[in-house]
Amino acid sequence: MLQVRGLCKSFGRPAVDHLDLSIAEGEIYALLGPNGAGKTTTLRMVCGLLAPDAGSIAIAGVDALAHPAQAKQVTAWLADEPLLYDRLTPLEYLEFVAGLWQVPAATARPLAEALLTELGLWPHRGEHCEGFSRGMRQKTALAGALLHDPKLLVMDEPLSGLDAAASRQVKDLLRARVKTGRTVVLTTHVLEVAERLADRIGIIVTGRMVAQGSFEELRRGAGPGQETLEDVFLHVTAGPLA
Amino acid sequence: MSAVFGPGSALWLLRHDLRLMGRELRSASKRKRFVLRYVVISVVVLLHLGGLLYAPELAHLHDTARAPALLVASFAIAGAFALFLSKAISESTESLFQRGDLDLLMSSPLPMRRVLISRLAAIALNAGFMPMLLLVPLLNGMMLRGEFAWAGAYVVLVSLSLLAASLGSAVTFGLLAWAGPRWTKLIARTIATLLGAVAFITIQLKVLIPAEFRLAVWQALMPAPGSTPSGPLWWPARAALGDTMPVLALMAAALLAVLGVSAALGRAYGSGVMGNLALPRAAHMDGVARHFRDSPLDALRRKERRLLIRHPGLIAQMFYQMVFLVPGTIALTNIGPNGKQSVAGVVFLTAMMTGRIAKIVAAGPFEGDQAEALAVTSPTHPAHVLRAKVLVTIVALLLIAGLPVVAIGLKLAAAFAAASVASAAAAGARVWLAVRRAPQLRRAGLQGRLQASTDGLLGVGIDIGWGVAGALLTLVL
Repeated sequence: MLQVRGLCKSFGRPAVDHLDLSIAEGEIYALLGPNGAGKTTTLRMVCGLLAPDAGSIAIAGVDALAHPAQAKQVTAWLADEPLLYDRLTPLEYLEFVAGLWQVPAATARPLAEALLTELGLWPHRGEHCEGFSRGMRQKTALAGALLHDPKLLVMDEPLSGLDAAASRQVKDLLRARVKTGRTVVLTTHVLEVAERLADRIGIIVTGRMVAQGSFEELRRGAGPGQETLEDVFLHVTAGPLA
Repeated sequence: MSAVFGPGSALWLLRHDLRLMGRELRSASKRKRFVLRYVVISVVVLLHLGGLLYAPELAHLHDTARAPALLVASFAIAGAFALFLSKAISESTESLFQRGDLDLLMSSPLPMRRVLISRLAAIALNAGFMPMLLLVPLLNGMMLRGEFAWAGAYVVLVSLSLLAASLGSAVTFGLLAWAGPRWTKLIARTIATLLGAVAFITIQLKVLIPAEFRLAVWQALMPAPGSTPSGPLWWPARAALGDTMPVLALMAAALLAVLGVSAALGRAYGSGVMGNLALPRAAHMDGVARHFRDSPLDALRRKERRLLIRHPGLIAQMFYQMVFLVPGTIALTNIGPNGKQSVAGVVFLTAMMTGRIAKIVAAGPFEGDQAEALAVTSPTHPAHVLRAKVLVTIVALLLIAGLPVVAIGLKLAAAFAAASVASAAAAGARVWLAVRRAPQLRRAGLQGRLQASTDGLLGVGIDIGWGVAGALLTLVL
């Protein structure tokens, strides 16, 4: 579903350094790394928000750099602090997003209602987003991201700021999407989330991929005594930093 | 049709922007909305009455010789265009740095060209709003008098605002590509300020330029008698005066500018290049921190000074205030270079402007303190925190406001001394206001906003008050 080859990006110093990434259809992939490792920069390049200095990106077989509109049609981006229009209601926001992705009204309206209901936002459909808590804003943005039924969902810290119930709701929703063949790429600093949710995990340090695989594979690769993902993460990231 | 009006079209995006603007306006309380509605209606009615009264003067332009009419119209249009462009540059810079919903729009498959067309239209609307508010009633007055030849002026206004929006956006993006994000804001604001000053000076030309020079300029620019000026520079004036071809040419130029700029910038956005440029980059500061043994007061002062110097918009805002001080000062000096009244006038202007500058300077250390809790929870004496802010504000104020005023001429040095007394007091008052206002702002509620606007009005009152006090002091001395 997502093929990244030799991706490079520099802001004076290298932020992403010859990164390769292959993510299969129907997979949840967690991209981990210390602060400033280049996770968000990588995802922003995948979504066409940043131009890479070098490398290639293919989404569902489409060259995202040569045909950005085609690639964006099947992709959704959820920022860590998503911007909503304060003076729009969630339903109006989804109506706008449907227009951006050209989702036919006959499909968009029931889908928007279903998403808002599923995320517990239906009772708030008539309220302006300005009064929403962080969790409600995050969920509204997630509904927007899912509205055009993207094949690839790219999420930057999707669970930050969510309470336990909301976090569970989002995780369940992502699992359900993946079961229907959709692909999710996410970053998170909560390693337990990655451990439990992700099928595969990639760890990047200073823009380079230093370990990749399922949790079991990473644990085996890290050697004896590395039981949790936290142990593995600290073991793997200690080398390149030192 | 759906490509033009349907979801995802430029018009659909523009409607979305207008809906957000409308919601913003309607967000005030019912009482405030009620008052606002009647204030707006009254202002519109008053402006139209003024327009009707002034319309005969404007109609007279058609009766006078063609060449002077064209010259007068050209000056007026140049002034208006400078104002349009100034506002357009400010708007496009703001929209670039407050990225807002750009991530959402850029991650969608919509061509960025369409997004930019709607943004340019919104910038044009914002840039043209104030001048149009003043000029449209005048034109409506002309229409009511049956002077239909002036209908072209409506097209001129719309075309100029679209041209300004396109040019302003191109300038901003050009700066971003050339100077990088750190300098773009400063340079763009400075250009916008200068253009605003040009518009202001154009209005004040009669007062600012001595009569002989004014006549010489007039004669130099005036087209030869009997000749018909045909160059593109005369198009706007000719269009305003009712020539059909220039009206069409101006409309075509505006549309081409919008389409051209949106296509060029759309490509840059689509490829994510603008995303790169708009990203903040870490500033590389030379040298190392060498003051780890500072006393708490020194540390606080140093911190305030550093943050104030590195404040991104400070210099441009100062410059903005100073630019408007200079024409007024020159005008007053022209009226009576040696008269006590003109010195008093200069003192009034200086004191008032330095009061406004004090507010801007104070906004950095007081309102912009992002780590207020750090000093509050430290063992530092609370008075030191306040003293450091006040000291830095006053020193910065005297440096910024003092040097250019002294540079105007030694004759004004005495006036400046008197103005300094007044402005220092004004600065103190503004600082006091800022301290009072900070907790209100943190509440971020309507009550806080109302309190802040009341403080703002009070602040302007204090500026004027100290200006008058300084002027009276000069007259008495």
